[in-house]
Order: sequence, then C-alpha cells, then structure tokens
Amino acid sequence: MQDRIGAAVEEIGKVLLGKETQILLALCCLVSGGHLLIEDLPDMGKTTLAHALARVFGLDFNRIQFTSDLLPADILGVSVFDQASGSFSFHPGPIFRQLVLADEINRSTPKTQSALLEAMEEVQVSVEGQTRALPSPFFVIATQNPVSLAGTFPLPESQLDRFLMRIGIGYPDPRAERILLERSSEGDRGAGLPQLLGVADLCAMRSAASTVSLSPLLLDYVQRLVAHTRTSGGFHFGLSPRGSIAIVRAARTWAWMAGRQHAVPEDVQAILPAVVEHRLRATADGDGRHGAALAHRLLTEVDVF
Amino acid sequence: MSDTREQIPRISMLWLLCGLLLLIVPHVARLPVWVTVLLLACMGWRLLIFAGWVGFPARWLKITIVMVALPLTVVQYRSLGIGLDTAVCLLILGVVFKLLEMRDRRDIQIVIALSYVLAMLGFIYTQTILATLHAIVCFILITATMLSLYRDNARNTLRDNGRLAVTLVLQSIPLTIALFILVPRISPLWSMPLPVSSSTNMGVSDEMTPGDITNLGRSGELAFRVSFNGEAPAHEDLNWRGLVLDFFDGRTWRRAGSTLQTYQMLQRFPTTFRGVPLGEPVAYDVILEPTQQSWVYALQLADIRTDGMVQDRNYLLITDKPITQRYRYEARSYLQHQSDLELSTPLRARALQLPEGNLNPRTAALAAQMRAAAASEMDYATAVLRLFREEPFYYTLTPPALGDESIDEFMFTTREGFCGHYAGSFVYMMREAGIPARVVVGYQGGEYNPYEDYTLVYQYNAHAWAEVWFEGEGWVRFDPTAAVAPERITLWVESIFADQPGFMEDAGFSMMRFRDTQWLNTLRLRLEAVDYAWNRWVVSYDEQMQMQLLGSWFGENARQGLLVVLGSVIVLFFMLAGWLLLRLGQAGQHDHATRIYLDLLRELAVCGLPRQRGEAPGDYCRRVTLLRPEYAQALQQVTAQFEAIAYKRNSRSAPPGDSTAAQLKALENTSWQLRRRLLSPWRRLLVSLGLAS
Repeated sequence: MQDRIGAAVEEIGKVLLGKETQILLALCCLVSGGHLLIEDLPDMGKTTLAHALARVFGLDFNRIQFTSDLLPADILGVSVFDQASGSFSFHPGPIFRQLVLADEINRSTPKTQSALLEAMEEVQVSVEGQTRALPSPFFVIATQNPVSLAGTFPLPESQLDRFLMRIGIGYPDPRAERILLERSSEGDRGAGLPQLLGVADLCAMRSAASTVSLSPLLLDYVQRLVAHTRTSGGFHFGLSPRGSIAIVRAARTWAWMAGRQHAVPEDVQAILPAVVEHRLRATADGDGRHGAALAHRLLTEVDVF
Repeated sequence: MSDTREQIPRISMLWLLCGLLLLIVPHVARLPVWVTVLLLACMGWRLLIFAGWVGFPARWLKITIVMVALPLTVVQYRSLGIGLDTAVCLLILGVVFKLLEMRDRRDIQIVIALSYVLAMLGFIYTQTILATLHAIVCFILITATMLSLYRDNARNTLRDNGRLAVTLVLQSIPLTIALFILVPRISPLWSMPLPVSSSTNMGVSDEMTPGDITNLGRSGELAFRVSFNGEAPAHEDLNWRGLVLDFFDGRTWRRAGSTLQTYQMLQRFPTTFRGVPLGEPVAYDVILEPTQQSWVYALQLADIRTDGMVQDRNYLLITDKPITQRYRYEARSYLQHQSDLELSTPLRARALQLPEGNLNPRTAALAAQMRAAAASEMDYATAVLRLFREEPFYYTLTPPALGDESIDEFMFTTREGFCGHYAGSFVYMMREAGIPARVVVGYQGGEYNPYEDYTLVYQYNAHAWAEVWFEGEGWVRFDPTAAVAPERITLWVESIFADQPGFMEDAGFSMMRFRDTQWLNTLRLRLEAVDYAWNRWVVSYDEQMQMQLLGSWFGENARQGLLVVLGSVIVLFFMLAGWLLLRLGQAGQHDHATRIYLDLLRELAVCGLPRQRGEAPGDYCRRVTLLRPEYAQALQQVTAQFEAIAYKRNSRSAPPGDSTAAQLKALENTSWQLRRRLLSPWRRLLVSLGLAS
C-alpha cells in the first residue's frame, strides 16, 4: 500500500514542484486522521496542495474563504422556512464535506473560528438544537498568512492544539521555479490529477498505521522530549498530553509510510517540527514565531538514548 | 534545604525511642539513679509529644535542665575523677536531651549518628558475647530508624523497615569479620582512663593493711582464666604468684621502693635467672581480665613465653603497659624448683626489715622465746605454723579493727583474721627471729571447667602467703592461713565462705548463687565455656594472634602476607565499588542493548566519529557510511540489529524472551567485531581509564 502513497506523492509533486517533504507531511497528517494547518505567504501553493490532496484521494472537497464578516451559520448551514412544505428545512453549509479548505482562517472573528474548530474536534455540528454528524472521513486544511496580521484574529493556543500539524511550504527552489516558469498554462491547480486512492483506501491506511509498534525505548525518547519542554528554561509552557499523543500518532504513520512496522527515533524527529512548532512558545515570544527554533532545540538538546 | 527540613516520619520516632531505650539499659547500672530517672522522663516526654498530648518544652525549661544536669553530673563523679564515666554519662544525657528538641530530619540524623556511637560505647566496659549481641540488636534498631526516614510512605511499615534493617546488618557481618581478621592490630595509642575502683579493692592490690579492714569484700568477678597444656596441677599447687610485699611500716605491707623496677629498666638490664628448675614444667596460657596494673600472675618459677613481659628479681612478671583490656599470655612453670640459693646483701636486708621502734614487744618476745626453743630455722618456722593451728586462731572475713600495735593485738588479743593477717604476722615472726621472709600476694586455687578444660580464677581466690629464705634451700613457700583453715586451700573456697557475711556481697543475681543446683551449675559452666572460647578467639585477638594466624596462612613472612592481602582487598574493593557504581549508573539509564550500542559509539567517537546529540542510530549510520565507507557495512549491521531489539518490541507486549537474548548475543558479537577493528585492546584500556582520547 506504501507504493500507492509513493505514487500519490509523485502525482502531487507534479503540481507542487520540489516540495516532497511538505507533501509527505500533509499525507502523513491525513492518514493519521488529523487536521492540517498550512501557514505561509499568499500564492505559495497552499490551496494547490489542498486541492491536489482532495483530488488524489477522491475526496468531496469544499473551500471556505474566511473573512472578518463570515458568520458561523455561513459555514455550518441554516434552517430555511420552506413555503411549499410549510416547515423549516436545513440547508447544510460548506463544512459538510470530507475535505474542507478553510482559507485564511485568522481573518474571521473568534466566534466563527470556534464554530469551525468545534466541528473539527467533535466531527459534528449543532445547529438550532439539532446535532448533525459530519461526513467521514472529515479533514480540515486551514491556511493562514503569517505576515499581514493587521485586522486578523490569531488563533489561541488552545485552538492551535487541535491541528495535528502545521507546515509551511516555502519558496520553490530555483530548479522547480524554472519548470514552473516554463509551463505553458498557469493555474492548473491540479484539476487534471488522476484519482489514485479512494476513501476506503484511506481508512485501510489509517488502521494499518495504527498497528505500528512503539518500543519502550522510543516512548522513553518521546517522553523525554515532552519533559524537556515542560522542565527546561526557554519554553513559555510545555507540551500538553494532546501534544505528546499527536507526536506518537504522526510518528506511527510516518513509520508506516516508510514501510516499517515499528517506529524509530528518525520517525519522531521527522514529524516533530510539524507537530510541535505551533504548540510551543518561547518565554519571550510575543507572536509565536519561535516555534521552529524551539523544535530545533528539542532535536539537538534531547538525546535519543 | 526543603527536604532536610521535612518532618520526621512517626514510625522513625518509634524506632528511635525503642533503640535508645535498649541502648541505655546496660549503662543504667553505672549511671546515678537520678540520671536514669531523668533519661526516662525525657523519653517519656518525647513519647507524649509523639502521642500529641503535650508540646515541646519551652526554651527556659530546656536551659534549666541542662544547667542543672551538667554540674550535678560533674559533682557526682568528682570522687572518681572526671574521666570516662563522666564523659559517658554526659554523652547519654546529651543524646536523650536532643530528643526534646528534635523537630526535623537534620536533628534526628544527629541523634542517629550519636546512637551508633552509644552502641559501640558499651564495648569500653565489657566485651562479652552478650554485649556484642546487644550491640547488634541496637544497630538493627538504629538502622531501621534511619531506613524509616527515607522510605516512601506506602512501604514505611515496622515490618518492612525491620526486615530491611536485619538484612543490612546481617549482610555487614561477613565484611566485619573479614576486617576484624585482616585489619592490622595497632596497640592502643592511649589507654582508657578506666575507673580502677572495681577490680582492685576486691582483688589484689599493691599494698596490704590487714588492720584497717573489718569487712573484706569478696567478689565473684573473674580474675583470669587458665588453660593448661596437659593435666592441670592439683588445686593446692595453684599458687598464682603476684607481688612481693617486703616493706612493713607497722601497719601496711608494701613493695619496698628500691625494689620497684620498670619494664624499660628490666628490658635494658635483665635480671639473671636465679631459679633452679627441678622436674618437668607445666605449660599454660592465661587470659587476664583488665587490672589497670602492669603486672600479671603466674605459678612460681615461671618461664615467660610471651613478648612484652619481663621478670624482676622477685620473679614478678611485669608488662610494658597497664592491662586495660583482656590480656593473653603463655607461660611455663616449674612447680618443683629452688630459687635464690644465694641471697644478696641488699635483698637479705630488705627481707629482714622491721618497722622502727619496738611496736610489737610481745610478739618480739614470743619470737625470741620460740627461736631459742627451736633447733633450726626450719623447726622455728614449723613451730610458728603449729602455733597458728593449735592456739585459738580463727579465719574470718570480718575481723575486728587493729590499733597501732597491730601484730601484738592480732597475735594475742583478737586472733581473728584473713590471709593478710596470718601472712603478715608470720613474716613478722620470722623477721623478729632474724630469718629473711616476705609476704607474697596473688591468687590461690581456681575452679576447673570440665567442658572446655580450663580453670577459672575469681577475685575471691585472692590470697596472701609467705616466703621464707633458708640457707641451702632458697625461698620456701609457707601458707599460715592453711594452718588455720586448711580447707581454705584444699576445698572450694566458696563452700567455706558461703555463710560468711561479706562473701560475694555484690554478686547480685550472679549465677554463682545457684551453684548447688546441679543442672544450673552445668548450664553455668557451659555458658562459661562459650564465653571462654569467645575471649580466647575474639576478645584477645591481638597483633600477636593475628600474626600467628596470618603466618599459618601465608607462611612465616606474615607481615608481607598481611600487607599483600590487605592491599589487594582494598584495591579489589575499590575496583569493584567503582565498577559497580559505573555499571549501576549506566544500567539506571539504559537497557542492555543500548549499553552495547553506546559502548561501540564511544569507541567510534574516539576514532573521530562522534554521534551528535539527538542523532538517531539510523541517521548516524548513514552519516558514518558517507564519512568512512570502510565501517559502513559493519555499522549498518549493528544498527539494524540494535534497532530490531530496541524498537521492534511493542511496549505493550510481553517482556523480552529468549529470542531477545539471542538477538542481544548477536548484537554483542557484531559490535565486538567492529570494535576490534576500531581500537587495539591496549588503547581501549587506556581510553577506558581516561588516559587517552
């Protein structure tokens, strides 16, 4: 099954040039069943990645552009009085899809953000007293722009925690950019990507990844990593238990994607920056920009044994 | 700081109070009654604090108690001299007072440390098996106290602490025995200022004033034990000779000042051996109880077999220092002998010395009359003995006091006395008749213990007799007491004295009281036999015995042998301890597979391939593969094996079984294959010792 992941990476790589690591991490996040936060400047390929993932997995996809006047009802849906039947009928919002791209999530008000985040956590929405289940699988890929912060509402730590991973995409390297420039058409956005996997495949992958074994030695390492964030100086606060569970979950999937039935420290180290960066904040870090440095510290200060 | 300031666990208080109570028990007999009462009161108070009924005493109260107790102790002991007893008493008081202001862990740690000292303090006074067992039990209790301070609450039970403490103390016993045997015995740097009261006023002292003593206390304390090589001589032949008292001032017999010779003098100018042995000697060895005096006892005409002892011209055995601990020596004695066939002028003068002034005219007249009636000097001596036997002289331990004319009063008026009276008067009679004579003090007889084949000599065996010099015969022993009370010499002394007041007054509940009950007597002798073995092999284990033992183990170069053994024991001990610490330190952090892997990595680092902090095995392996392709294959194999053991196991599955053992073996093998390529054994040794990098 791993070779199909390889094929998927290859296909997505055709639209997002030279970003194999990010693609792998995004896939890992998806297979782990976690939500993904992509944080980068505009037009770096965030939406392209989301589109491509949806296409490749054959997922039902919708995009919500978050603005400051977006209301919870705009994403969850509303009940409308039907004159013909004489009763209210529910019109589901854009969130009732298997893959939801929440674009520029930090532009909306906290009220709307929390409506989305609650749906992410519960995999169900409550509208007008009625609880409605969201489709399964249900993924949210949120993006946010870290630069133009004026008029935005940064996500609080408690809500950042809900995302399994946060990745940045970064500028393409010169070779990839050259290919991009040489392309005849622009804005393909992966519309032409073939569907390589189905929803059933995704579920099978998810259950296969959860059987990857974790040895005591590896769990010791994870616990040391987590303990380091809680006890050593420089960390404003430590990783929550949800954070350590996230590390283990992602490491399992990463190991499985590498074709192993057991996780090794490299797996933990590969996913660690993506999993912990947005959960950490340095003591003197006003805007939460130093997560990457802290993750690097973890990798170099905590030994494997 | 915070953890030393913590509260004392309640269970520790229980252990400590029990331990202290037991520690103090053997001292109670020596301590003044008010001290015992004060100690119990303090411990009782602490118990009440423990129970929560009262609080800690106020500051002024504590100061008052100390200010009263300190001078009172000093005053109490002043008569005995400020010495060991005072110090012991103050130490015990100090420890128990500390209980009253013991609030946190630091305080109880002080008390625990002092308790260990107290437990060993008992050995200054007595070194019996019972004392040793007592000390061991005390050690267990104190150790349990200490353990209870550090155990976590869930496991801090009396039973658990007790079991652990017993285990610890028992485990320490083999080491104690090894150290006891092997650590070089150094003669004490100072002698303990023991109170001399207990042994001398009941046994033999260096002067004798029969007239002043109206109640001769006789104690059942042991003086020494003897084991004969071969059959023991008859009871009446056991005359353990001690001092010669040859100066008489009218009341007191003492050693003539001019005859006092020190060990150092005699060692430099040894006296010539003037005795003539006749017949076969008897060989024996003696374990002497501490006397605080620097002479020992032996049967007459002793030939010394032990170093550190010399014989003066009166055949007194002098040691190089006072006997403050049990002292063991070997001797040979010629029971049949003649001594000093020639009597030098100064010796003769001393043996004829009489007090100035005619103090005892009636005795002088009697002596002159009897000497005139006797044909020879020997006849005169036997006549005087007959006089003692036939006239109404009585043997008693409670004689009436005598005035200045002590000999006259005894000879003609009171006629009641003990050995000192008879020996003194006899010698006086001899000297009045111009025959050289002197008083000898020592012990007579002894009790034979058939279970261990040795003889016990008690303080009540102390005796005084006379020696008279005859031309052509030398010194001849006379025992005038035997003339008065022959059973004193030939029978068990205690069967005669049993109804005498003063005999073993202070024996208390000594087993001696039960001498008449057959089985109890057997038990007593058996216990005595165990005690003898203990004294012979444990208490009197000194430098000489150590040398003999080590000599028998390592040949005659015992000193070198001892040094070799000790040196290697110490080196081995530290190597083992260091290795264990290193091993335990590592084992605490890492499992076996990781240790093997890290050992390999340490050597790779020495070869210039250090693993970065946080670098995972796989990453490191890939890096080394790029840097040093020649190690690539071996390291890849090791890494794969290590990862298989370390990471393939699920933490929720069963613990590693046999397959893991085989895997470990394989890992160790491949690891060593690579290590052999990395470092030479010599270099590895240097590296492991930190001498090379």
